[in-house]
Amino acid sequence: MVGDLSGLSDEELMLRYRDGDVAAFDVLVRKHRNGLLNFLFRMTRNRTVAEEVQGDVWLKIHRAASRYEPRAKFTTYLYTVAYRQCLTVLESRANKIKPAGVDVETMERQHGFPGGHDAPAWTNPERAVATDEQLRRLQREIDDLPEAHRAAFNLYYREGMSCAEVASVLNLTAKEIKGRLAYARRLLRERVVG
Amino acid sequence: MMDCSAYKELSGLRPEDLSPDEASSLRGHLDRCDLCRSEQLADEELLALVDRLPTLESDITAADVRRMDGLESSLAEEDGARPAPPARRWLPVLLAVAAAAALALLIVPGRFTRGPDPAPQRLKGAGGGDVVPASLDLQFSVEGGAADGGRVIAGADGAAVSRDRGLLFGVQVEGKGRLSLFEIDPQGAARALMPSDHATWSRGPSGVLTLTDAAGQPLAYRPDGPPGAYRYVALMTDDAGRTPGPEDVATLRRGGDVEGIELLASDEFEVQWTAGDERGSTGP
Repeated sequence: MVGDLSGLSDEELMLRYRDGDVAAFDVLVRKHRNGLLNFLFRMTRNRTVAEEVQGDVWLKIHRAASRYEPRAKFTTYLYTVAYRQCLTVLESRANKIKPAGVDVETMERQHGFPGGHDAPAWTNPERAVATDEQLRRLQREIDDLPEAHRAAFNLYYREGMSCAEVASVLNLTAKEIKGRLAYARRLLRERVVG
Repeated sequence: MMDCSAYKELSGLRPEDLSPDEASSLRGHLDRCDLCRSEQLADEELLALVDRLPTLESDITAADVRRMDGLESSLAEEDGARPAPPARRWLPVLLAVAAAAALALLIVPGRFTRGPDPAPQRLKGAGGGDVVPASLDLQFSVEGGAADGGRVIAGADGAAVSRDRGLLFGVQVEGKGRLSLFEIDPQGAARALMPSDHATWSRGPSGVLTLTDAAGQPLAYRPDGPPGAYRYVALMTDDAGRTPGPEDVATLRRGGDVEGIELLASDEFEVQWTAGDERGSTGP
């Protein structure tokens, strides 16, 4: 069954699901779950919250399936629902959401073995340490971007959406998106690359 | 002709987001403006770093979604109440689904006995390849024994260690974190061996981290206490937390929580220290 669905676009899959093909929704979920979770994690900076919101997003998509019409790209629809759900959660929890104690960075395979802030002098390849520090700083600086700039930056550069799609998700104009991306790049460039 | 201000707004965008005129104007401006050209190089460096940031993997399925929908509907019918808030709704389903395999980024409990590890949940690395979560393999060798060019080879369970020799420590690690090493004496008292002002971890040609002095020479360790069974425990903890102390080891070994410490991986082995030429036995 999945093989029959492999060549279909997201919009076609969603239409198949609307018309009763359960497997089509499974294909959609598997295809987009990683990207969606990553976007939500980057917005909420909390893994548990991101997973909760992801579940809510897919549930909304599922429940609205009978009314689905492909007025835009499916990813635009998916991430619009996700972004709005994210805003709802962030607003309701305000400052109660804390960044996850375990960061994705700690799980990435690195060349060396960087020490902690108060660790003794680990012996590591200098280049690997510099890159590790830069990556940590980059992640912190992205996390510290204003929410709207962070959303635009993540959707464009990490989820690979076009300016028009990002604009649609965030309910802004393409010009505004370009401005936010330029601002985010400048800030990150100054603080991370130097 | 495009000025710097207009350039800055459009640079860093992908070609498909530029009109042909915009793309042409950008190229023309770069040919003339050194400042914007250097900013473009910085942008390229920045975006290359962005591509290296790690990503998460999700294991949610459509079946989970439908199950949750059914569960919520049942709850609503039975109680006449609103569905449970998001904080509680997904946890039971996801726990059930992830029963065998840990979700990416859940802390992997320390391994306190030697044995095969469960299949690790894999993350996607920045390049798209799989990334193995944090793991740790504490090894030892005997001073003057089977060492090869300063490299610590896998500890041989069952080898006796005489106190007229020393113990060389090595660690094979995957992932990132803070590495600590502790000794537990026969009476159960723990003391920290690393971090130390007198030693460091040096990466050898095999990739194993060896405990060395500042000059990179392997350090041979001997306990201060009497002969007996000593346990050596290596802990890898999250960089963001505090360095574990001897008082934390017992709790972490039991799998308990210690405030301010996230345990990523661990390993340990036991050494039977003998006096002089007396030989005993060791175990894992």
